[in-house]
Amino acid sequence: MRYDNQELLDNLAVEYILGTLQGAARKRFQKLLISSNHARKTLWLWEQYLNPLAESLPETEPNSAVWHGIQKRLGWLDDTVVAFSPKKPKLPWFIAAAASVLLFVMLYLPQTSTPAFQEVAVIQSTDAKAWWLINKTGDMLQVKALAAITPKQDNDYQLWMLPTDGSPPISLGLLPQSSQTNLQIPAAANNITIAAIAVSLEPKGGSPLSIPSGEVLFVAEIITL
Amino acid sequence: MEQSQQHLLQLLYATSQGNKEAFAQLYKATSGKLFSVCLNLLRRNDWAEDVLQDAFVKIWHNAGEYHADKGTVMTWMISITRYRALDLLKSRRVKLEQTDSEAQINEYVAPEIPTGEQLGLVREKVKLDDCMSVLSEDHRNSIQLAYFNGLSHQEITAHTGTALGSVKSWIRRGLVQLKRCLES
Repeated sequence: MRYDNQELLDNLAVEYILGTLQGAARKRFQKLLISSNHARKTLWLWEQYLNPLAESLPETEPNSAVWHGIQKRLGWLDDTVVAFSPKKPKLPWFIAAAASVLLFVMLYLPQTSTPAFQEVAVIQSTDAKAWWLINKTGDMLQVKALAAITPKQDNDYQLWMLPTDGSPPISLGLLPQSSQTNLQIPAAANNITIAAIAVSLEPKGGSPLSIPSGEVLFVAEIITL
Repeated sequence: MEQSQQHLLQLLYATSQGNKEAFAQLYKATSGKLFSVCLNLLRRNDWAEDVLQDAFVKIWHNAGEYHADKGTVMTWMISITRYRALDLLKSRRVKLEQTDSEAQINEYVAPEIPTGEQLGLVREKVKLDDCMSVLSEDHRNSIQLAYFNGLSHQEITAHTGTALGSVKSWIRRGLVQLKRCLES
């Protein structure tokens, strides 16, 4: 086969890209790509011509397990460590990217009338200004907005819980910017150990994705007092 | 250079230096489009997810091998993804069964986000569209069936009810015309 024929090279490159070059012919072309600079450049040229075809495809958001799987394959997640050392969870990437950190304190306050514990969380900035007060009763979170909040007219603040096993964050709902609201803890959050919580800034109505889409403003590991 | 290409280039460069955060951002910016590429070729969600994972693992390891001769960052990433998908198609001897494929794909269609500019493909795409539009319908369909759906010549033959020789020559002639137009 005469590989110095440009038209032939073009044909081979195109069929290689399309996948219509198969079997022994495909292998021969792969071998040629290693040895011939010209063949490689021809292929790259055709990739540039044809791949913009993919632009007409709509975006399809992959399941968040895919990103998890990639991290696992790259050895970034160590399940053994995560499973047995919940105090040092591996946090998802967007947590590492958080611009600043809020302190989240879980208080277990003994109630006078019953032996049960009340779970209270305060989300406060590092300069000790409290943004939200969260009171957990059963599977409900009563969230009260406090004075330190920077109000955002065009955005919502969204609360997330981050499982210790490195699986994707679970939305707990939108945080109020004034007064208070009740959030139902989703069933998906049952029996999951929380490594940290996060607050992201989202478009009105919350993240269009199943994970934070906007900037993760605050992240905090949970401290139990 | 478009700003989008510049942005992806920065992320890819940082990725090649071992920056995990940059890699995560690169994933966030491009995985939606690349997943569609996989779904179209493979027609099975689980395979598409496998291929997307393989592709990104490869992108992480090979980020330093990208250079501008290979096209935009997105072109390069699409190539990696497509070749992996084609390998899988071959190794599993996929019979493209259209029966439940549409339903599977539809389940996973996310709201479309106009990120063409972000992906740095818009300018090339406009030109490609122009050039595709001047091809005859047969030529255009054959190229699209092969590119998007990974159909072999034989499968295109079955799909269009045309003789094998015609399909081959349609693709060939169509692409010669396309090249001439793209290079003009």
